[in-house]
Amino acid sequence: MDKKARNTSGKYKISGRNDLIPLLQEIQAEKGFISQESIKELGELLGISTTRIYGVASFYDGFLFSPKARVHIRICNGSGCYVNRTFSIVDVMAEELKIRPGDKSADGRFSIEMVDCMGACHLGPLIAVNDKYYTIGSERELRQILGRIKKDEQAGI
Amino acid sequence: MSRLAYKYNEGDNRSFLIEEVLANRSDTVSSDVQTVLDKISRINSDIPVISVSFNSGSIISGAGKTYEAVMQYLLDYDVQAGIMKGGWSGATNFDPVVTIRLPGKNNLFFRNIYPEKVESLLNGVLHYEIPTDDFLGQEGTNKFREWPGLSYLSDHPFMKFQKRWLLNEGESYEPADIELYIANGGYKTLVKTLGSYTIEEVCDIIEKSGLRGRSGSGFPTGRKWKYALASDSEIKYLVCNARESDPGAFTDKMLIEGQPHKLLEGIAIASYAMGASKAFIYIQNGADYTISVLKESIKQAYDYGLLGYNIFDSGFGLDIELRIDPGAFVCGEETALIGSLEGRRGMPQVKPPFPSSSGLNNCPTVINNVETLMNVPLIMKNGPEWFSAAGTPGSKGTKVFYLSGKSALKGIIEVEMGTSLRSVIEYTGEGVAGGKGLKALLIGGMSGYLLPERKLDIAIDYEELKKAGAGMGSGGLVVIDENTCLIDLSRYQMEYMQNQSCGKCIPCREGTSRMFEILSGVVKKPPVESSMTTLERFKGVMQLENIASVMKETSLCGLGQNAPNFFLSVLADFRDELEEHIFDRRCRANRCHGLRTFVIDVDKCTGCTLCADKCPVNAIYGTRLQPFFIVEEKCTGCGICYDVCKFDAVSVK
Repeated sequence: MDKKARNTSGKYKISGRNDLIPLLQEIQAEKGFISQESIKELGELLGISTTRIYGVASFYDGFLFSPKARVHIRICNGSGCYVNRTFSIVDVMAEELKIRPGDKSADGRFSIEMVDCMGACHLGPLIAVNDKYYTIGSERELRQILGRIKKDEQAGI
Repeated sequence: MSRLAYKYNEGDNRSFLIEEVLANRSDTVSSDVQTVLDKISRINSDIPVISVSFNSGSIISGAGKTYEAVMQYLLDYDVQAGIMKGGWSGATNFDPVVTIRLPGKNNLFFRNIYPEKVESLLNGVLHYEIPTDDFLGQEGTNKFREWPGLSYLSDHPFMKFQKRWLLNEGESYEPADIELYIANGGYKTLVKTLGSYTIEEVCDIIEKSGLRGRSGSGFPTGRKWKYALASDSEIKYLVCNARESDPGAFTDKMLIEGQPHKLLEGIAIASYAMGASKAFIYIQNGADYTISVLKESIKQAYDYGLLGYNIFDSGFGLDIELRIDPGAFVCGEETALIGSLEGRRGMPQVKPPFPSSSGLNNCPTVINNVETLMNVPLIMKNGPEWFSAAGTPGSKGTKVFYLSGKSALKGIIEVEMGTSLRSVIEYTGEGVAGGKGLKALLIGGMSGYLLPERKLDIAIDYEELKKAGAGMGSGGLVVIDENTCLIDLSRYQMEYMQNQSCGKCIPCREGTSRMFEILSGVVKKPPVESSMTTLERFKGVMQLENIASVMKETSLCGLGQNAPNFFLSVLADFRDELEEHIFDRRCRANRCHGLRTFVIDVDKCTGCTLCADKCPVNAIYGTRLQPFFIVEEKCTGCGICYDVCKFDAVSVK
């Protein structure tokens, strides 16, 4: 994050606070998450206190402060998918993976996120495991999928 | 592979399009130019053109694999054909959609073409044998010859009652390809507007057309621009709000994916009319495909000089910056969105001052929705009278909706204002999936309203909907059938609102939490049911209405004011269902798992003890090899016994 280098490369015209969120997004895209060091550097670059930066970043769901889990599960929380559900996907996931939406498991293997409509409503209720999509018809099906994911993940280590 | 990417490349398309088409002031083009245009737009093609519809939804359904399969087929059989990523969007049930145009003939649409179907489809169609199984229809245009004996796409039940101005029936060109957009008449309106209309004239035309904001409130767009124009500030901003703030809808993103250049054209015209030299597109985090399409389109528009400094020598310049929402539902609200653009927390501010007088960086800022802006080029091209001829006296033009939930067909639709909601569900959506009874319709997403089945005959019109106690909202239509529990749905809605409340003002922060707690108590049984818990539940329920009205009156922004809408409409129209949950502790839709109790069929039970072993609360008793029984007072309704029983002996009471 060299101020000079950035300005000469023309990638960013740093004009102060308005650029805070795009810069945070770029850091996240580059490093995968926002570290304490990045916040400090950014604070110096923009002349904003680190507490303020953290205050802004932590307000939004999109910023991560630790690396992403290896298996990232997204559950569609759209109203269209919800009315097609017959059981609580979140509860079953909590039982199987011991985490709830927004959390990451202690070993860094799994994380769950609730997302808005993904645009394929006829496939609902929809979940996405990394980039693979599954239609969850029944509780048994979900448990099977989760079992398979756990196994695959372990084999991948 | 390059042999397949069919493109007209004789000479320089870019300078030809700029000089002969865009810079040409007259409305008509010479026949020579038209011939080249037909070549660029692939109308005048002597080889088949195959297009696989690409949008976020169809990619999930496997459009990418279909595209690869088509490519592979063309290579394997050494067929000369063009292939592209089309922009047709409609019912997601039809995805992946493949469009094939044989030389000089009408486009043919096929549904659900998964990779394994590609070979048989192309084997047939390329030899002029049209399979009927997956056939949707032929597109009716005057450019090509018709296929005798084949049905038209516009006669398909899904399309028949729609008026697709923005979705352009069967648009079969690559959305993010500026050459095709210009060759099909795009950006001509922008250049003409900049060259021959004054700022005030554009505002007048838009005001005269009766275009109203499509994001929910329905404020006249022309008047909004005039407010900003009247301010003497030198810097003004336009923000295109593409932060679809409804988790059940995908309208804005589908619109952008279908015709990104139409949006850019609309933004440019709007910026010119309100005097802005900088525009932002604020788009939702996570919509990766939409963002990539938009980025590419913006780059192309700059390359053609349609954005940037001094556009086509008009003296008007515009910069468009794409901003990605970092993830907050409340940023759909105007002042919160501005906060987020300024690098602050996305928290709503007190209005007034309204953004049109003091918004981003304290400069006048106009915030328009994607759909509103996409209507602008259409109005400028065809005139305000053309636009206001469609619709009702108060609401003009068309409205795009996203149909989902329990409707048989789900996806993006566009209907003329004034169409009745019932006809949208019954004809366009082909009724309720599985032939179930229609119970209600949720209109306007999470902060929307529930319309019971008997009220669905009302027309889609800002005033009519208001009279019925609802609102246009974001364009999400969630069809609810008799198997859906509305109390559970209202708990889910309140949970969402509670999570998304920014926490700035107390009525919203506390109100959503309390309402969620009380509603959770209604759909679940407490661990130990006593007279105290029952009293607490009744007390809570009595307070719900009061909390809702306080939230409506005192919350700072639309999120808090509209959060209780759903519950209030349940209370107004489905009170009996709520009372059944509270007093009888019963869910008629059998959806509230917390309220069900199970019984064991003595004839079927073999006494295997599996259910008793698995029961987390030890509510099942019995002797081995004898029928077991469930103690109703202890049962929490988790349903594990139901799942584990191998003899189907457990059933819901």
